[in-house]
Amino acid sequence: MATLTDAIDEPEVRDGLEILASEGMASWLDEQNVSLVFGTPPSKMWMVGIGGEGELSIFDRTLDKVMGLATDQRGTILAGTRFEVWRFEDMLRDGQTTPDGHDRLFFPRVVRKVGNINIHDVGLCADGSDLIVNTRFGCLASTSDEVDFIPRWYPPFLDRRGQGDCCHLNGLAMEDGAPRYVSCVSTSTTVDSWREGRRDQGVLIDVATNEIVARGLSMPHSPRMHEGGLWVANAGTGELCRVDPITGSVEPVAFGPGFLRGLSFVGPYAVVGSSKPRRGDLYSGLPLDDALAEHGMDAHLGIFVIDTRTGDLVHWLLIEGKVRELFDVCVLENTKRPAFIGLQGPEIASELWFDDQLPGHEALDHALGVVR
Amino acid sequence: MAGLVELLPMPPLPTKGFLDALGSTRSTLIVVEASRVWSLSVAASGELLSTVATIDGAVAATWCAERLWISAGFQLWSFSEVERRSGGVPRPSFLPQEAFSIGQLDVTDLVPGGEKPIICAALLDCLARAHDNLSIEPVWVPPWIDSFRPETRSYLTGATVGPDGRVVITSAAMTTEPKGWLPSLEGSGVVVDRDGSVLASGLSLPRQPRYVGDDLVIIESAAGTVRQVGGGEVTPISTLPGVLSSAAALDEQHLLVGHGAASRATVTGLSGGMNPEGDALCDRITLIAIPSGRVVGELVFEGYSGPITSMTLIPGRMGAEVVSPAGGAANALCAVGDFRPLF
Repeated sequence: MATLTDAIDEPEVRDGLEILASEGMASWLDEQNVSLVFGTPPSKMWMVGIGGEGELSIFDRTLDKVMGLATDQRGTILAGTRFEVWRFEDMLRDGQTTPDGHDRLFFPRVVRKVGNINIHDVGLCADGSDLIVNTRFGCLASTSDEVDFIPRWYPPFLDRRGQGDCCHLNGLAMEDGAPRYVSCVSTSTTVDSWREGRRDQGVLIDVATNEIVARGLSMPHSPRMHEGGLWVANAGTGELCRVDPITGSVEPVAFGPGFLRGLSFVGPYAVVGSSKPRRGDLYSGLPLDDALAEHGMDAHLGIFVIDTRTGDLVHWLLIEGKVRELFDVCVLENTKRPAFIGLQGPEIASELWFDDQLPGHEALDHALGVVR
Repeated sequence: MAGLVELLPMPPLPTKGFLDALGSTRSTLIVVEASRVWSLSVAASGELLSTVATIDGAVAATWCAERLWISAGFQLWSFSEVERRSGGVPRPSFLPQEAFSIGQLDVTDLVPGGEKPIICAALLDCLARAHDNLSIEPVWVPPWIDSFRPETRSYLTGATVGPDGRVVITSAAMTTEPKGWLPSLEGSGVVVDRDGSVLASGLSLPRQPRYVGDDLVIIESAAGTVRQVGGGEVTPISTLPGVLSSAAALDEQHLLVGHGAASRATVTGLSGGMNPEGDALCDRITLIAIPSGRVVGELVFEGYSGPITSMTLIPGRMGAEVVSPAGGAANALCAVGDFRPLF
């Protein structure tokens, strides 16, 4: 088990943010053949893999308040941001690398505006469409090219159909490209009253049956399905939990020093995001405060790798500086060293990707909507 | 105490003839002018209604598939219509909804297509459309182009689709040399159809061909001439001051032509058309009757302005406004679709 002090010697420093990782983090990523993508609001998205010498490869760009992340593991990443949902596509073919050695190059291809809806988790459906957690309107929604969002599902206890965050719907567990469970901080039905239920009124809901399958959670976030099991980051206690949706039992598997939020899996390992509560904010005054005191630990901002077989925190990556939140973390399978194009550099304008075969006669007809 | 003055672009000034003609369409005219997108229509009282949105890098606009599309910087934005109440009065608002990262293609024109507009991409000498996974999908290249290279060889300047489905394209030259169009700017321009047949040649930077009714009309930027193309002939029908930078059909009898000072043109160093003595040569839109060439009206943009690079009509909508993707209003306004259950 790693301790939070056995860092690699040389921390990375980027824009005043210091990145520290446990000694085994890079080799773990290498062994698992995965990379990580996550955001630290208000302005960064990160991709972490390994470089040619086995060292951590850290890539970051500016993106406005990255919240939920999802990937289909086939080259698409969906990123919910402050007002928009961006769809990134990997522009490299299998085996291709960029001149500087990146084996994935994600390009922000299409953006849809969703407005100020306090987007949280996002999901990619089997047909390629998206689902987003619209916290301000308390619903699951789809983005659209015609409107900001299309409401698709409301919690069964919520009779309001307008703006106003009553229950703080925040998390979405997808399974086989379909929505399965959501998390809410409470079942309140009046605007903002979810704040009163932060300590122990959180629930998980089966989206298909509308049944509440687990209760008594403390600010649950990031429900995820993994190998047939339901998991949740019980952020208010700092615990990663396994949930039995039949019995409603919630089994803490591991404690992580922080407000746990953002969850992904690699085999038996859980990759969990962690944010820093601050006295008097939304994430303080929770059982987590007592748990941190009991463990004699401070809360950290970063990523924890937890072995779900033992509950041990085996690797970590911490971010120090003037940020304190991390909303989601996503594992990119079969990826060593990813990169992405940001919105502010010259590449987004100058990098052109197209099929260089000259178009046939029918291409123009097709574009014109002409059927011959 | 210092006074605070909000600096807003001066609304353009119409002549009566312009107001009457625009008013009769009961539509909103969108004008793209140096990153400003003007929405212009005529109120029941006969006054010009104008709003302006700042959209960084906006160069071209078109109306396609019941949406407004604007090419701006590296993106192609679509704007969807919602009804917004302003002072109790409903007005059609066009909110930015979706954008494709097409790259900096030097877009010279947008043409209504099927579900998305066709992009006239001068950088790659092709017509193309936005793609979900790539920058663009090229859909047409002129016959003299045998491969894609980002180097603006012949400089495609516009395209249009006729009432009979005929596709017409303008090009500054027919060359395969990198930037080969520049040295031969005057007199090398052509109008071709999709098969590459040359409909007109010897033109000086022809641009944005348009059908006005059944009449094919082109503007010849560097000469300041409006020409009708048909029956194997190219007939000059009007000469306007300055460099002609954009064109749009207002209805089946009238063509709108954007023009202005050569020094502000996208391509500088052009002689442009006649510059009558004493004419301050503000950027302006002149409305001419087709095929007579008679000037019917004018809309003058006073003060500093940039080239008018594109115009399009939003049919059947009076008093429409465009909301900028970069402004706070786009994020504060939320168009909520009808509930569509998951299961």
